[in-house]
Amino acid sequence: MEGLTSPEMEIAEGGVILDNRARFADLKAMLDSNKDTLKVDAMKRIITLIAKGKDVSELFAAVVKNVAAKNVELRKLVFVYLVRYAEEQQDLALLSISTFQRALKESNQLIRGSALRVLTSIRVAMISPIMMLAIKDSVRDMSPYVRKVAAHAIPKLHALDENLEPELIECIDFLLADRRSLVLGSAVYAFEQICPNRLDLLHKHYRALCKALIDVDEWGQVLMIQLLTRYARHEFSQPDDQNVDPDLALLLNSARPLLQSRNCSVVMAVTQLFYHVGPKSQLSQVAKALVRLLRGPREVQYVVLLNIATMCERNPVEGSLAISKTMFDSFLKSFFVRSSDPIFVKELKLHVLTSLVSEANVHMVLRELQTYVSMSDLAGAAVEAIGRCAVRVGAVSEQCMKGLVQLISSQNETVVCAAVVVLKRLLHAEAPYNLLARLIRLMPNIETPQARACIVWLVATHANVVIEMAPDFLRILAKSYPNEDQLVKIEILKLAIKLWMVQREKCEKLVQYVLQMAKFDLSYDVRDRCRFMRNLLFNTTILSKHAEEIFLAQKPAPELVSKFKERDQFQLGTLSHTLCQRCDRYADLPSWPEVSSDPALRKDPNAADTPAWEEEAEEEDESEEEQSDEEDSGEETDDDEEELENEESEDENESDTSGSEEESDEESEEEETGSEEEPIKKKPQPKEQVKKGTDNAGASNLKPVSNSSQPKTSGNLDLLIDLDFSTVGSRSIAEAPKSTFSPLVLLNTVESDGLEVKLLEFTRENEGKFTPFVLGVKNTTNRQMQAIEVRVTDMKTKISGNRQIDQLEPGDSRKLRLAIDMEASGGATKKIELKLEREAAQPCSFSLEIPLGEQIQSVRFSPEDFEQQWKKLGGMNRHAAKLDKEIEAEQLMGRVNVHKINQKLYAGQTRSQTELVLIRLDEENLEVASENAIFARMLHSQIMKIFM
Amino acid sequence: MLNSLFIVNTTGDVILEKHWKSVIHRSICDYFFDQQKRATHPEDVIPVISTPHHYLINVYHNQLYFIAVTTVETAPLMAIEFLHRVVQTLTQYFDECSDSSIKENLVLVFELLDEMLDNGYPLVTELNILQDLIKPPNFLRNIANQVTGRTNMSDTLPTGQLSNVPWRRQGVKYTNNEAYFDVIEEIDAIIDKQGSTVFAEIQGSIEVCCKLSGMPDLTMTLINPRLLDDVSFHPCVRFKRWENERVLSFVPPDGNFRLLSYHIGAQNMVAIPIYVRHNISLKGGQTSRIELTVGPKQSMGKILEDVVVEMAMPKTIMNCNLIPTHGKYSFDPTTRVLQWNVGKIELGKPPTLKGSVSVSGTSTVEPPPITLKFKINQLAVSGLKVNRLDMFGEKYKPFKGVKYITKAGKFQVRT
Repeated sequence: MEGLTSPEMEIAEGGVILDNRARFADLKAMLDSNKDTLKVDAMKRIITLIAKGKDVSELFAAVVKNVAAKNVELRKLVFVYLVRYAEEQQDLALLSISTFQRALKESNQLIRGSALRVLTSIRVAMISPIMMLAIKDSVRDMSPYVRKVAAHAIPKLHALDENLEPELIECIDFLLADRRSLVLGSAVYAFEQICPNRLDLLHKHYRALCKALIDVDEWGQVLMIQLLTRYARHEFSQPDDQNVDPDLALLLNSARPLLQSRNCSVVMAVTQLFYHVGPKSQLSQVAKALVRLLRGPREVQYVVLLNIATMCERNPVEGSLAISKTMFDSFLKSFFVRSSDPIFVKELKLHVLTSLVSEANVHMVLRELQTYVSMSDLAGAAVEAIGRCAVRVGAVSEQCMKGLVQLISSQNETVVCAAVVVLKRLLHAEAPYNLLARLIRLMPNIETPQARACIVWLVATHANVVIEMAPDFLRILAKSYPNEDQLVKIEILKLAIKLWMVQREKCEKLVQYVLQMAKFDLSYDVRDRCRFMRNLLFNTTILSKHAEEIFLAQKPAPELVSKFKERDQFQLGTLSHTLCQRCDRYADLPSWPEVSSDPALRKDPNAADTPAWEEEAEEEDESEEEQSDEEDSGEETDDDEEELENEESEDENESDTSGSEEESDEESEEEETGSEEEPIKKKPQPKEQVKKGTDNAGASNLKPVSNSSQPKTSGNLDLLIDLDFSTVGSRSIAEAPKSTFSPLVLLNTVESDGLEVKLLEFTRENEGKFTPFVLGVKNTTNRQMQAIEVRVTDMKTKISGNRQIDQLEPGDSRKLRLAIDMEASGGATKKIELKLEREAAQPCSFSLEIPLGEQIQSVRFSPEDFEQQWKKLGGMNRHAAKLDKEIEAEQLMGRVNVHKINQKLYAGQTRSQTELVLIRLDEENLEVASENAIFARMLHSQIMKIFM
Repeated sequence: MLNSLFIVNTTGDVILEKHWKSVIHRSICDYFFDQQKRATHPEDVIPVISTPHHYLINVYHNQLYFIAVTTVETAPLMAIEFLHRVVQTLTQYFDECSDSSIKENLVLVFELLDEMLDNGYPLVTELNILQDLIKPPNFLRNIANQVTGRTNMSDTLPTGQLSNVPWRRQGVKYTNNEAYFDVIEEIDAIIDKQGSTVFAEIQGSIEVCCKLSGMPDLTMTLINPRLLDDVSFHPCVRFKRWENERVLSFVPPDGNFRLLSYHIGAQNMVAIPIYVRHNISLKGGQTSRIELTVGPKQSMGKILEDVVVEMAMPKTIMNCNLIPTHGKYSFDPTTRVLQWNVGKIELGKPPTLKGSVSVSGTSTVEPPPITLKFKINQLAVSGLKVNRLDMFGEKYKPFKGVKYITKAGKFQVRT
C-alpha cells in the first residue's frame, strides 16, 4: 500500500486514480465554508483518513483555523487533528496556543482541564515554558479534575524537555500531598514516569497513600501498588512471620481487599506485592484470586499462568519456601487442560501441573497426563511432563518409566520422539536392570527408528548393568543389521565397540562382523563412523591405549532446568517477566535493607485531623524504639514487643476501615469544597500547625524535658522546627548509632556555689537543623534551690528546649534536653557561652563546645553513590592522614554520628547546613571529605585528637 | 504506557491506527503478522511479542486483533485489561465489536480512544462517563440529528468525572423506574470417557440492567451469601459492608453492568445436569460409526434448552452421514465442525444422533472431544438466591426483577 502511494496520486478504493490535490481541495473548501455542518463533515472525513493511516498533514493550516470554533464537536475534532500533526507543523501549531491559554482562565473546570490536556499534548518543544507555567498553575487549581489533568501533563512535558525535571518534581511532590483520591492515582503515575527513584519524596506521603489506595481509580491502584512495593523493599527490613513493621502491615492490609477487584491487573499487582514484600505466611492468600483470573480471556490466562509457574518454580523442593508451592495445591484441577484452550495456555498449564505434583496427587496428575497424550497438539509436551513427574516424585518413577516405554511403541511419531528424548534423559545417569531388560525384550516389537536407536543407546551406555544380556542383544541386532535405519546402525556400531572393550572374549567375532558390515554400508555416515572407530582402536597404538577413556568416559547427566527458573530474577507481573528479557526502563527491585528506616520519617506533617488513637499508636511506636535503642539496636525484639506490634497493626486495620468508609469520605470532601474557595497558595499555613502543635505536643517526636512542667510556647517552637526539617534534605536519614560520649563537667560546684552542670550525652535524635544534647544540673548543697535557668549570653545563639527548673531539692538532679542550631549560632566551631542564673545567687557563666562529630547526622548511602560523591569531593574538601593505630568502626561511630555503609565507608551530613560528610576508614588511613572544606578539616583533626 | 493501537483483522488489514505519542509506523505490525502466520488457529497467536525496539501486546476478539504498542516496561495485564475494556466499550456502543461495526463508525471509535487514554495512560474508562462525553449512535437520534443538525457530541459538559461516584452519571431520569438482576451461572466441566466428572466448577455473575432515576442507593441481601467466598465486585459495591454484614450495598451505574462475579471452585460438589453417551470409532478404510445420546441428569425438575453438541473433527474426516432423532445436524467440510442442534430436551426418549462417517487414509483417528452447550432457565445451579432488594435515597417505588439462568461454560466431554 505504502509503496504504491505517491504524494500526489493515490489509488482509491475501486481503482479510480485520484489526484490528492483535487481531493484535498474540496476538503479545504468545506473547511473554509461558513456552515458548521460542512466543516464537521470535512473534519470527519479527515479523521477517517488519519485513522486509516493516511497523511493529511497538508490540511493543517485549513484545520487549525477552526480551533476556536463554537461548535463543540468541530472543536473536538480539530483538537484530535492538532494533537496528531502539531509535531510535524510546529510553526503553524503555535497559532493555536493562545486559544488554549485563554481557555485555561475559564471559570468552568472542565474547560480548563481539557484545554490543559490538549495544550500539553501538542508536542512542540518551543512552547514548553508555556506548558510549565500552565502546569504550575494547575497543580494548585481548586478543582481536583484540573489537578488530575495537570498530573497527566507532567510526563508529557518531561518527554518534551528533560531539563525541566527539577521543577516538575516539585509539582509532583505537591500533588502527592493531595487529599483527593482522584488526583493521587495520576500523581503516582507522574512520579513513576519521571522520578521513580526519588523514594525519599514518599516518606511523608507513605501512610496517606496506603490509606487512599482503595479509593483510587483502578489504573492508579496498579501503579501505586507497584510504587509502594519498591518503597517497601527500600525502606523496611525483610519481614518474618511474627515480626512485620507496622508501616508495612498497613500497606499489606490496605492492599488485601483489592484482590477482589474486577480488574485483573490490580489483582496481579497485589499478588506481586505479597510475593515480593509480604511475609511468607501471608502469600497463600493470593492463590484464590489468581486462580479466579484463569477463567478470564486467553491473554489474561497466559500472563497469569506465567506468573503462577514462576511462583511454583521458586522452590520446587520441599524447603523453606515450599509454601509458594503448596498454596496452589487445592486448585490443582483448575490447571487441567481443555482441548479448546490455545496452545500456549495448554503448555503453561502442563508446566504448572508438573511443578505442583507431589506424592499425594501424583496419580491423579498422571492419569490426566495420559489422556493428554492422545491430544494431537499436546502429545509431545504431555510425554515430557510425565518425565518431569518421574523426576519430581521418586515413588512413581518406576511407573512413569513403564508408561514411557509403552509410549515408545506408539504409532504417533511425535509421541515416540518425545518419549525417547525423555527416557534418554531420565536413564542417563543410572538405569535399573529390570527396566533395561524389559526394553531389550520389547525391541523386536518396536519399529520406529528413533525408538530403536534410543534403546540401543541405553543398552550401550549401561552395558555394565546388563553385561549378561548385552552380547546376545548385539547378536540379534547383527542379524537384522542390513535392514536397520542409519540411526540405529550407528548406535549398533557404538554398542559393538563398547562390548568389545568390556567383554572382548565373548563377542570378538560378532564385533568384527558388525564392523565389516558397516564398512560396506550404503550410507557414507555409517562408513565414515566405522572407519573412524576402526582406526582409533586398531591402527594407532597411541590412541588405542586410551580407548577406554575415550569410549567409557563418564558423562554428566543433563540437568532438568526449568525455563521458569530464569524468570525469577524479574519482578512478577512485569513485561520483562513475561518476555523473560530486560525491557527498556525496567528496574530491579531493591534488595532488603538490614534495618528498617526510622518510622518517624513517615509521619505525615500535613495530617491535621489524625484521629487520637493513631497518635497513641505512634507514641507507642516511639517508646518502643527508645527501648530497643537502649537495648542495643541490633538485638532481637522480645515477646512483649511483638504483642505490642500486633496490636498496632490491628489498629492500622481499623484506620483502614474508617478511611475508606464512604460517609467519611463525603464529609471530608464537603470540608474541602469549603476551603477551596480560597485558592491554595503555599505549603500549609503555620498557624494551623501551631494549633496542631498544642494538640499533640505530647506525641511529638521531640522529647520535652522529662520531669518538669512543659511550657506551651516551647512545645510549639519544637513542632515548627520539626516541620521545617521535613522539607529539608533529600537524603534519607538513617538510624543513628549510639553515642559513646562520656559526660563532661561544664561548671563545677565550687564556681557556681553548689550547682554542678554536666554535658551528659548526645541523643542523636533527628531534630532538623538542631543538634540535640542533654545537660545535667545537680544540686550538691543541702538546701533547696529555686528558679534555676540557663541563659544564653550571645543573642545570636539559637537554642530550643526548656531551660528552666522551678525547684531543685537538695541532692537532686535534673536533665535538660536542649537542641542548638550551630550554624545560626555562629558556626560549627563556635564556643557557646551560657549563663546559669538562679534565685538568690550570682549568675555564673560557662561555655559549651559541641564536638563536630555530633553536629552531623547519619544518612543512608549506597556504596555506588558514595564513590560518586567521593570523586566530586577532592582537593580542599578532603583530608587524609595516616593512623598510628587502628580505629574500630564502633569507636568511630560512637564519636561521630555517621551511617556505616560498609567496614570502610561512612556517610553523614551536617545538621544545620545538610552538607555531605563522607569518611573512609581503613587500618592505616583516615580520610574525611565534606562539601564544607573547613568542616572536613576540623572534623578530621578532631577525630585524630580523640583517637590518637 | 501505550504508544499506539492498531486494530487488525484476521486477513491482515489494518482497520484503524491511533497514536497517543509520536507516530509509530504501521510496519511494526509485520512482527505480529509473522507470529500470526506461524499459528494454526487465530487464538494461538502469543499475546505478548517482543520486537527489537517495541513490545506488542495483542488481544483477540471476534476475528479482530487489538494490538497495543509500547516501548518501555509496562505491566502487560494492564494493557490487556485496557484492550478488553476497549472491546467492551465498543460492544456497548455498537452492539457488536466487529470488523464492519468499526469500519462504519471509524470517527466515533477514534474519538472514544482519544478520550479513553491520555498520553497513553487510561483517563476515562468508565462507560457511563464516556457515554456522557460521546453519545452512542442510535437510529432515532441519527434521524433527529439529520433533521436538526445536532450531533452525537454532547454539548453539555459531563460532570460524572467530578463526583465521588464516578461510575454514575448525574441527572438520570426515567418515567418507568426498573431494575433487573440476572443471576447467570456457567458450569465449566470436564467429563471423562466413562462419564464421571474430572473437574467441575461454577462461574457466576450478577448482571444488572438498571434504569433508575436520580441517585438510588441499593441494598441487596442474599439468602445464602456464604456460597460466595471468591467474589470480585464492581467498584460501586461497598466492600466493607460486604466484609462485615455480607450485604451488597451500592449506588449503581446507569444502564447495563456486571455487579459482581463469583467463582465456586472445584472443591465444592457441582451437580451436572446433563449426560452424553457416545460410541465413536474412526478408522480409515473401514466403516466408521458415530453414535451420540444426550439426556438430562439431576436437572432439578427444570428443562434443558438450547442444547448444542459440537465436535471439531480431525482433518481426515471427509463426510458424515448421520440421522438425528431430535433437532438438526450439520457438518462443515471446510472447518470440519460437526454441530448438532438438539434444542429442548423433553421428557421421554433421549435424543440420539447415529450414522456413519467416511475417513480418508488407513490409520485410526483419535475421536475429538465433545463440546456441549445448554441453558436452564429459572435455576441457579449453585443454589444462590436473592432475598430482597431495598432502595434508599429516592422516593419513587421501582420495579424490581430477578432472573436465574444456568448455562454451560467450557463444558467438555472427553472421548
